[in-house]
Amino acid sequence: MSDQHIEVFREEAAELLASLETALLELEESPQDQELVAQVFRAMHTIKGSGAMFGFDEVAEFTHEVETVFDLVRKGELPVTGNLVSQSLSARDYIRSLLEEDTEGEVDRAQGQRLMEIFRSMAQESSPKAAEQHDETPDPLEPSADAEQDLAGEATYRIRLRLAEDISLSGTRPEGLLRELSELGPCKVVAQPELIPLLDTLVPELCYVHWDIILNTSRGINAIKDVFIFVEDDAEINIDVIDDNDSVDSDPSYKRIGEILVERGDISQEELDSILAPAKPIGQKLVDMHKVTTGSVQAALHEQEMVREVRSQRKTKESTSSVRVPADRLDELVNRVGELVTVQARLSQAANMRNDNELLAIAEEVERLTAELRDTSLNMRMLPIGTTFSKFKRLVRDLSNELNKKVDLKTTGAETEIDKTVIEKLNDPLVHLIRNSLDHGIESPETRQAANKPATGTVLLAAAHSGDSVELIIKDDGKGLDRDAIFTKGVERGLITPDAQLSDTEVFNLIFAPGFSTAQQVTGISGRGVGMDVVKRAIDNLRGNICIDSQPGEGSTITIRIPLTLAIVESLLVSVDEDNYALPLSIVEECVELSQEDIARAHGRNLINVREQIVPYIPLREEFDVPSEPPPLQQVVITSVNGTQVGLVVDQVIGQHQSVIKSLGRVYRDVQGISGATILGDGSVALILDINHLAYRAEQAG
Amino acid sequence: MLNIAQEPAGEKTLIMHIEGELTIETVAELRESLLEAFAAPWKNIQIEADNLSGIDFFGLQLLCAAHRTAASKDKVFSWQSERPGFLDEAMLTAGFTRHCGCSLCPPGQKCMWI
Amino acid sequence: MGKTIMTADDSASIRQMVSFTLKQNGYEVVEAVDGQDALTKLNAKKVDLLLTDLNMPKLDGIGLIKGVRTSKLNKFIPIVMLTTESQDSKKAEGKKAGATGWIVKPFKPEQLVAVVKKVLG
Repeated sequence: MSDQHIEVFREEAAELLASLETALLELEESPQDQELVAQVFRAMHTIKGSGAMFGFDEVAEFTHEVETVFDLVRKGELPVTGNLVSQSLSARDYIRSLLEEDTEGEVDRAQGQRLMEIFRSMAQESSPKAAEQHDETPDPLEPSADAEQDLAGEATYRIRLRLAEDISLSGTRPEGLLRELSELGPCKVVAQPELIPLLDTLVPELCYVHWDIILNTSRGINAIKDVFIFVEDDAEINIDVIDDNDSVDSDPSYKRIGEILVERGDISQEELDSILAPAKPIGQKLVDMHKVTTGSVQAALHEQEMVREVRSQRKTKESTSSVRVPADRLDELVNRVGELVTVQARLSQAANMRNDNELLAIAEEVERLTAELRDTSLNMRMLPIGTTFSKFKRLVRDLSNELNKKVDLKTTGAETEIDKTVIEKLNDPLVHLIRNSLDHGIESPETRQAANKPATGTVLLAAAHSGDSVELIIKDDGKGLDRDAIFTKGVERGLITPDAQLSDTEVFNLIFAPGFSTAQQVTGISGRGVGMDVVKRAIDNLRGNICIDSQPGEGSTITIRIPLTLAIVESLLVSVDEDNYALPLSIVEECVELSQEDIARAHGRNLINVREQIVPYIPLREEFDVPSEPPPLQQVVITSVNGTQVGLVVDQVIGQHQSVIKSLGRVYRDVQGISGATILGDGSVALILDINHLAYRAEQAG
Repeated sequence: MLNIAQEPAGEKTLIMHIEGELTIETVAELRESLLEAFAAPWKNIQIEADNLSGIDFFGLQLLCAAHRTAASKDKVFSWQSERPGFLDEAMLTAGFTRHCGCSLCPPGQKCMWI
Repeated sequence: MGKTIMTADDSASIRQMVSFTLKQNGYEVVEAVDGQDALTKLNAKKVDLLLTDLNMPKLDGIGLIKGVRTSKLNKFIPIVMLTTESQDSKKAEGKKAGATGWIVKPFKPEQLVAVVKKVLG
């Protein structure tokens, strides 16, 4: 607010206050003079209104009380008395002092308070309600505060707008409303002109058109309602959500025209049924039979088109070009390849026996190609686990409604790829675990709030590759496990002796033992007899393991590890001497150079200075006892492990690689620091480094 | 302000030149002229609006009404040459472009808006 | 876009602030000091929008709105009322008389501009 405006206001107020004084004195002489009363009221009203505009909130607040009283006076509900005039004069002086505080100092705020009280009680006298006549209508410029949160996510809405015919008598521009809507997002507007009279009966200043609008926006339904805020009372406005992002029904084909027309109320279901015949497109038939107008069909077609567009765009964003293949065809392919591998092995063996160089060379080639073919075909069965995650969002939403709890499902690692059959087999156990979290873990909103937790609980689903396994985590912030209850039950069930010495974790993991269940009731949700032991069995069948940890009052964490002999990981290839190694790219932060000087500078400690941070590093050459001399300039790959940075010193950083992880097999499984291997394009093997282990070893070694 | 000039073009055709603004303030005038024209024996009534500087919803509605009237009387109401470009935006916003043929429009006749 | 807005208010400071804000946003502004003054000017000049206070001497906001809606020149223009929240019955009256929309005092300059843009379409 510019100072200039404030000055003008001050001057204006000063003038008003001066003439106010005169008016009040005159009013004392002629208390019946309505003009004077009106003048006083207006003066108060103006000072209050303008005061608030220009930042004089105290003035506005104070003047409000006086204005209220004079409003009652001009309505004839309060008489003009000598007392009123005296108080008003004091009030006037007080207002003046407030306005001139900057220049003249001294304001007796205690007196101000007293005066406000006096005026308030005067207003109370007339009628107890008078002092509270504050109609609270929402300011049209503030976003409407709904009790429910806006559906803040992209959604498609169907809006039917019917304005009053004489809308122009309030100066409303229909095109203005439509333009405002189109500013919220992609919008298809269809005007329905059916009711426009012919020229002879047409009153051109009336509005005979109504509109069907399909709008796709992420601004939420309140933003749409705000567009119509001035015409609400003179219009029929229907807003329906016809597609939203959460919709699991993401079938891009949407509804058929007949369905849409019935939903929109343009025809009845019976009429639709009696008409459905394959000949013409339904829309055309309906128009021909005058059941609906072309306009309605147009509008419905646009709705269909719009939603289809939105949905297919969404789908394309989710997957780049892909081909759908029936799962059993893939399985067949894999089986064929398996047989090929077997035969190829015989070929190699036979070639070795024959001592025929040419044959040997061919056999080797075949071996290599077969391996590649096997890898490729097995990779086709990899799916990102994200598809499973989205199903769970729906599950959580439905369950939390059923249980009257508020729960949010968060997911990370949706892009983690896992073999298709593994995903299928994981589905039931995961569903059960999530249901469990909601049923027994997350408390009701009241209980949560009483415990100083947010009313909405969170369940986190995380998936990540860890070496040659996939790690899945289900973590909730609910009430956690009851150690004692579990212990007791364990004893009851004969799983442990009463005097057993068990760590908390060991106690918690008793719940996976067969026949165990501490739920007091068997709720419909978690079902009967579907205990944690069933979950454990499913995980065992996948050669994985599952364990649970918990903090009373804070929540529980279930960790599932499933080994994959095949998994793809984006990795960074590096080399030391002639060997290649692979590091998961996700943990790599950056690469810096390591010169001989840098090494010298650290005085025998394996530390490097990166932008003022000291980062420890592991020289792979030493770790792996590589005999040759390091090159003069080495590379440090800085990785981030559990929040700490660790560097790995290598000769060269080669580049990115999509590595298909192969497990090392039984013999090498316990080798520390290596979590698997991958075959490079040229047929050579790169070992996959497990930074966690390497770092641990280095730490141990001091 | 709206200026309307009528120009006969042959026995059966009348061209209406409109220039200025066709808005709620001026639609009444145009309606009068159109009513007259439809009452007369003209078979084709064409609108030329190259010098139209503005149009609002009520203007569009009037043109639509005129077209519907023509269709009901077996007359033709159309643009003289090309529809002026700026009209496209106004029509799009008001939702008229997407409409192709109200029930009064006999098959084969082009809708005003296409 | 060359639109002209009339602001009718008996408070000079409000008129000034409104004028300043709207001119900054590219509008032409005509001021009127009360309802009477506004109506006289509106019968002689076409404007694109009327902003009016509801409480003015000689002819108040409601009277002005009714007057405009029965006049010739500016009959269909959008009219925005400036109202304080304790005047809700007046606001309803104003709507009935033909006002297009309203802004509640005190308001910020940005809010004024937003409503102006909204009703001008």
